[in-house]
Amino acid sequence: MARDAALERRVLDVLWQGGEWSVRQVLAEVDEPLAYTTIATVLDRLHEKGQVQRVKQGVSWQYWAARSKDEALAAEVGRLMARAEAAPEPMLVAFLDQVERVDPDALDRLEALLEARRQRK
Amino acid sequence: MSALVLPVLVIALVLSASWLAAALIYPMWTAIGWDRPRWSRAAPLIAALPWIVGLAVLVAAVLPGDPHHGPQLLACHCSTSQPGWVHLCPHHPEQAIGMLPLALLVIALLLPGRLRAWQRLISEPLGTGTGAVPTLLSLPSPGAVLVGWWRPSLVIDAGLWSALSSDDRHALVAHERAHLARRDPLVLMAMRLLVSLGPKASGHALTRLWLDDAERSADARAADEVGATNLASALVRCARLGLAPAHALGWTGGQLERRVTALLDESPRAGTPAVGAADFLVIGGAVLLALASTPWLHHQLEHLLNASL
Repeated sequence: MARDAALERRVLDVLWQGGEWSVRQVLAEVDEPLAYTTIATVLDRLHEKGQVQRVKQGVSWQYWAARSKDEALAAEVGRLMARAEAAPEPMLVAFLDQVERVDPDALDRLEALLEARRQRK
Repeated sequence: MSALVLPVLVIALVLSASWLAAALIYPMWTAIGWDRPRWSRAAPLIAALPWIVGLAVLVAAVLPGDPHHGPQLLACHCSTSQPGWVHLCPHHPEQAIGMLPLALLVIALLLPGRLRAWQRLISEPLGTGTGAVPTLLSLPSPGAVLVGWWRPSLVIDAGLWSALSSDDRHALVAHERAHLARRDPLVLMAMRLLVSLGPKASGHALTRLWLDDAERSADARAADEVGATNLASALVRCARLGLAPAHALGWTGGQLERRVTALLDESPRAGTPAVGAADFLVIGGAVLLALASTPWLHHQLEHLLNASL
């Protein structure tokens, strides 16, 4: 499954270069000894997930990324953040499971501590 | 039918033994580990213990030996026991058929949840490998996070970034770079995988114990680089801005005060090192010890099975 995800990512990297791509063009750009059907399957899966759009031209499909790389990454991180906030499990470094609003009084105390430290210097 | 008895029994034994080990060890370690950095640092090793117990049970069950004559791999030792004694013997699986319903029940209770947890973990992003070079994105909520457990990238909300001063930004990046240097995203993923064998609540608590220590260590490293006051100031500034306080700089709910006061404390700071080679030696030793005890364990398991019938 991790391998599938890595391949999906490489295919998306190709599409994020912009423009429309056929399966054969994506296969050439990925530059790995993969079968035509493997790339076609990955593109089909990405289309089902809504990450890729396509149109039929003649007998073959042309594909392009549904969102820019930044938009896709932001959506992915947003999903992770939402999951991390909702789940009881610590999921991310720099995140924890419970969002606890900081007490304003505590902030006042900490700022006073910081100010005192700066004054001493 | 009888060919299935032993595998089903072994899976049930491994699952229940590792679950029980986790249920006992994790809460105990979590309770004594708070505020003891040396203990909380060992949380990844403790997380591995139920797997070692499970491995020992697996080996004991499928590779029985005679405790009186040392290990005899796959040897039939039924003749050394009383008639009617339930055996975990690959030569006579039918003797354990009475345990089948209980084993199936244990599997039904414990296995699906673990499979779902492992599937979720596998589907998490590997990361894009940009490291500590900030990727600024317009996120749904403000935050700074390391995305990806294998090749992590520092992703920061563009709104949060623009609200921070230059010193705050340096402090934030230094903190996350410290996490990267310690390979914390990878260790966190390993911990989540390891604790998934046991009860959820105790596994999460043990993971939180380790993460708390990881935050303190990242603070200590970052403070050496940018100055403790600057880092503390960045933490407080993010909180004051009201920008998702639990996210910015990765502090945990309720930890802010403790982290800031620790940074402002002028006594020497020492971040605990990340998991290293010595830790893997300890795990290797525990595995060897567990495997060496399998003949004894095999017979204890049989005693347990016979007592519960």
